[in-house]
Amino acid sequence: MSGSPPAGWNCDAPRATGIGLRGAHHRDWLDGRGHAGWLEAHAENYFAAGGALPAILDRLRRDRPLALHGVGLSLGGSDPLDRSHLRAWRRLIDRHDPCVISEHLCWAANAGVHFNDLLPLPYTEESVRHVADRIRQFQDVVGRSILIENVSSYVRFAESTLAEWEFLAELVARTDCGILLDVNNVYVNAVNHRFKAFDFLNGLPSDAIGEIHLAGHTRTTVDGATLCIDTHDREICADVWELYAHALRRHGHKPTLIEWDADLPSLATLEAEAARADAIAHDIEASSHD
Amino acid sequence: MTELAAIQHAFAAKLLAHARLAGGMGVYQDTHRANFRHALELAYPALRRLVGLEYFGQLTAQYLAREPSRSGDLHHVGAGFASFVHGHFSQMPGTAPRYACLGDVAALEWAWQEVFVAEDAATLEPAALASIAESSWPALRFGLHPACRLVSSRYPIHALWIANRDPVGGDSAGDAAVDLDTGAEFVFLTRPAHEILVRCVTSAAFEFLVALQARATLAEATERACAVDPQFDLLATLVDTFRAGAITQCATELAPLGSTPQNT
Repeated sequence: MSGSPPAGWNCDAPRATGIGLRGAHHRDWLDGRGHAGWLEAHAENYFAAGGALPAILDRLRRDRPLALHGVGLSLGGSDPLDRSHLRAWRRLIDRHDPCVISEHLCWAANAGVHFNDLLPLPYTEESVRHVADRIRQFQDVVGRSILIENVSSYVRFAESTLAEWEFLAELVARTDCGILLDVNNVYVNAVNHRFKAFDFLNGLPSDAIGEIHLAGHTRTTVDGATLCIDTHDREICADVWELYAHALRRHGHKPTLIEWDADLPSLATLEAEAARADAIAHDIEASSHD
Repeated sequence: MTELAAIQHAFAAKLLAHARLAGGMGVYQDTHRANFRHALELAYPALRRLVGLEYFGQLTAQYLAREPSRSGDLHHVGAGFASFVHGHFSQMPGTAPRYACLGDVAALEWAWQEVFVAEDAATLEPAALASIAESSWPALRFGLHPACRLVSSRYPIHALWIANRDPVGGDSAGDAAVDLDTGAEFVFLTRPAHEILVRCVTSAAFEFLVALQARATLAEATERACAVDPQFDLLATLVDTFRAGAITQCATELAPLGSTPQNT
């Protein structure tokens, strides 16, 4: 399993599944109670100029690779990229030397007002050109290739001419960015927008996938219609585990991360999810050698 | 406007409209409002507890309509909330002290947030003074740590904050034990390393620190403190300030304010 690092990585990728770093678990990680291949921090949560927060990353960075995952750049937005936000990114990268840098395929702000959410894009040729240009701007600032994550969405646009996975593949072709494949978001969108999740997974270029996210979602009824919502507040469902196994069989092993945000359980619960991902990856690798 | 910009413009206008949106758009509308409120709950735990969760929700909704987020870093949304809260309660005619104090409690909570994320800086020991000839002391100016904040109120905001900031206490009213008639409090905050220090000081010491932070000379700052209280103890206050890890520079010539990092 040697060779060059996966897309977006500046070091050999850890085999063991990683866990999203959350403030409520800082103490566990600092005291050495956590067992994960790597950690991923939400960049904006550590934009502080000084104090305890960046110091915690300094400390945790010594034990295992640290990824930085942005949630607020509004890469797909029409307002110019926020220069102070980019400066904060640059400072964070210079201080912590992340193993991989990622942001979302979405927009978040318009005419100066920020929604602090991952809002969906129409998948058009115009959007591809726009987002590709913005990814290049961001990559120029951070000085390396980034990964772009597919997001959950609850509406779609009549204007779209491309499938979401075709849109991602186009971005890869035009910017040399990689893909952060969120398998849960694929599942959520497949339910919400009635496409086959396998088509999404099969439509991605294998080499470009630099990371996989796994998380739990909520299935609910909104105004009479079934809707899956990307709540990150529970265990990963059986269907998503199945899609994860399919993604690994199709694209090979990828660095994988467990995300959990709301109703955060003990670290042990997250580690159980990570162990399950490791077991699936192990089984697939073993069977491929039969 | 490009097609993409037009789509986003229309989408944003819907999210900001007062009308409740249906279906998937309703999910985005709810998330927008909930994330905004949640960020303020995290930054203003004492205010939240003092007014109760429901009223806090009404305050954040009104604040969102007036001052929506302008940054991809949601931590910034709290910056204007304390003054919004202050304005909200001071507009009420004949505001009772238990409401009038809330804007000042909020100001203290935001100051704490600023202290938490401020830059790191190396601090000086009181011994730094000993190396300077006493004849030049009156002309000395001091650089305070970038985390230093000064908040005062005619109400006991420090006591209110201490009694209500702990979210473990739940939403039951926690202000019963604080007597609002105990008078003004003057609060000094700093963060010498990673531990945040919050301390009540005298009105004269507060005036002194405000002057030092504005880069007044030691003579000017002392004069202002003595105008508040002729018994002002200069040496004790100065040594306390050093020992709190609040002083990063001490010289007759300092870079003017505005060129220093703490003002960016």
